[in-house]
Amino acid sequence: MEKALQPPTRERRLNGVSAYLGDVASLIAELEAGPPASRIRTFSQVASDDVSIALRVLADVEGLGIVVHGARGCAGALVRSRPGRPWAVTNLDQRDTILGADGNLARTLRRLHQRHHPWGIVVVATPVVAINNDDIQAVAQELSDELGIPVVELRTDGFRSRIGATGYDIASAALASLMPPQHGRRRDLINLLAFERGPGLTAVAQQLAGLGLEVNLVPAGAGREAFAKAAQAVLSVAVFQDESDVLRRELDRLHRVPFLHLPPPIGALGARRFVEAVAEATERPLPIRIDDRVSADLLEDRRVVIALPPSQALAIAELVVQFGGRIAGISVDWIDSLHVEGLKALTNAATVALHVGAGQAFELVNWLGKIEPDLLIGTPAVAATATRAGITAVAIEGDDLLGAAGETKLATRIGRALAARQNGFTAGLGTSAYRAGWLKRSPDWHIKREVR
Amino acid sequence: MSTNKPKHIAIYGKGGIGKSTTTSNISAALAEAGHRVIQIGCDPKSDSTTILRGGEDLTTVLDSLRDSGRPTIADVSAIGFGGVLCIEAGGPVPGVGCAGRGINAAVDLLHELKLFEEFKPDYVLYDVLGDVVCGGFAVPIRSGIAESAFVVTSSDFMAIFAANNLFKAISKYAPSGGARLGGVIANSIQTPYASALIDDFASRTGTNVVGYVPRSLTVAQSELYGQTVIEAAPASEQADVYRQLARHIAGDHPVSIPKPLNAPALKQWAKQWGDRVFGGAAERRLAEVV
Repeated sequence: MEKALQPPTRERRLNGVSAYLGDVASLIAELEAGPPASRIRTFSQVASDDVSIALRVLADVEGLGIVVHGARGCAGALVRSRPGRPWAVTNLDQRDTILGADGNLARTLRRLHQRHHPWGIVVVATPVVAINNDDIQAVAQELSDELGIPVVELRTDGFRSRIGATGYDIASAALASLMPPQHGRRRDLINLLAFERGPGLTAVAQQLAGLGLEVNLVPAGAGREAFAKAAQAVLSVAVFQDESDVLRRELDRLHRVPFLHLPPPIGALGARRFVEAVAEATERPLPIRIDDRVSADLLEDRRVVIALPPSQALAIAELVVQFGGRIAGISVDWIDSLHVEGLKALTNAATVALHVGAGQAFELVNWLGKIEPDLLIGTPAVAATATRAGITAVAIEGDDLLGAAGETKLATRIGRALAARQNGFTAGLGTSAYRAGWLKRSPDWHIKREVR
Repeated sequence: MSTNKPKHIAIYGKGGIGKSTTTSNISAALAEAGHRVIQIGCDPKSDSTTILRGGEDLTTVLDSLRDSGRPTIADVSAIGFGGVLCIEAGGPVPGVGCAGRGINAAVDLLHELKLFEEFKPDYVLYDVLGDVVCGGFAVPIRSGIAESAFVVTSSDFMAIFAANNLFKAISKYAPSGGARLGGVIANSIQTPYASALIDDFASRTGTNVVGYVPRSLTVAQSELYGQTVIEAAPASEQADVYRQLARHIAGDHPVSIPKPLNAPALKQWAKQWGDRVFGGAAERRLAEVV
């Protein structure tokens, strides 16, 4: 089997940006001109790094063993994983850092296998390994032969990239190496790539199944069988293709499974476009048209800020316009060259404010104070921050938005939030933790250009 | 037994420049003069104190940590020539682990084991691997462990380059309580221009040369016996050179914060010396080839 390659960081591979404050049009120009300026910003303890995101991805794979090769704190992201999830941490200490810890890793792998019998094990490197350079690959190969299951290395160190999404890429490379080669191609099988499983994803999968296709959901919720089938699929599609970028590339590179580029199946129109494109690509009859669209005047020209992961934010922007709103600003954890076309699709790019930064609550409050939007649509954490700052907010997550029902769900929440505001519901509003003097600062005072 | 506060001195220099030979001969000279001395080799190669111990094996601190987990001073030390207590920090297996972190841990362990309170040395000499390759190797000049550092260099450009890097480390740590520079030890002096070149480098970096050690067969012959020059050839001129160095180090020598040259300035300086030594002939030959 061909070896999975270690993907470069998002910054290097896709000109990823993790710190930016300005307008959309300026960033488009910067990204199109070449590698963007390298900006650095205040460290945030609440932002996810590549290790934590990679661990979250792995934790959603059924029956897969995880060994975190590092200090016990490095496994923090797994603490909330489902009970019974087979994982272990080598709990490296100073002695292991100095003398190397190959033996410790081998012992941990044997114990995990003995106790849980996983169908494969991923060894997650951490910052400690970046110091002591343990040869994980050699241990993985040896234990793979000994235990008779695939043991693969996931080399992440938590500091090469400032973009947590690099964790999706590194986890994807490791997971792709767990997808064995298969003879023959099944014309009725497609891979649906997703990193989060929920009712929304299930609905999308059902719509695709309605075309007479078998939908192989990977990697979220997938087990050994789904991984084994992945190489036989006629094509792959992703609900959020910015997250799945490396997984789809690896499926193509290792197993020649082509990828169909599609915007996320968000909203009735987005979901229909998604299903129709798959139908066309697999030469299936078109599905029955589904019309689940909400009335266009819901937002009545209100100014809206969207604060969601980038591909979701850009897809929601279309819905906001469809609901009769105007995009005043977008806040994302990162942005890269995969999003340029989506940014260009915004009709008023020059006037849309753009904030890029993960876990920068104080910065977000300051920025929102300058924009004064009528409504914010964001992740629960951002929506809570905005609500405390006195801004009407709707909390929504990726899976809630998927499929035609996502449009209805979003519209219902927007309607409730606006009605609550109109009815004078102000619980928790205006209790910002930030003093007025602080909020007068320029919101980008802490974003610095890296000096080379 | 000494009741004075021990004087901790770090000796740095590029690998292969004769740093361990110089340090061991200084230790031997200090011991010969009646002082209690500890020499701690901070090099994963673990060969700093070999010529003080007749070439005998010594378990390193990190080997002992690896095997027993909790070593005692007796496990990791040996008495060498003149009663010098010899210790080697050691390092991981080549290609594995982190040697710099190992130096840090070894020095911490020696403090935890109350080495200095137990042995009551007058002098503690740290013989530290070549360049400051990472923060771990800078441990002896950080955190106030050593009061002063000496840099061993020859007139070779790479040795000067390493010395300049060490100056950068010293100038970084000195203002916050780190070691200051005691001076430069000019080693392997053989060519007619070597002393002048090292003098000029010292002058430009705001420091001074505290001793000139000529290249000598006596050193090579002594090492073949696994001995210092002080032990193998005590009446030799070379032994007196080391004794003089030891007296300087033992005395209240002045210390300074060096002013390292930046990269272009160092290259320009080296080129000027190239022209001076070879009269520009090398450059002309290169031009002809090109």
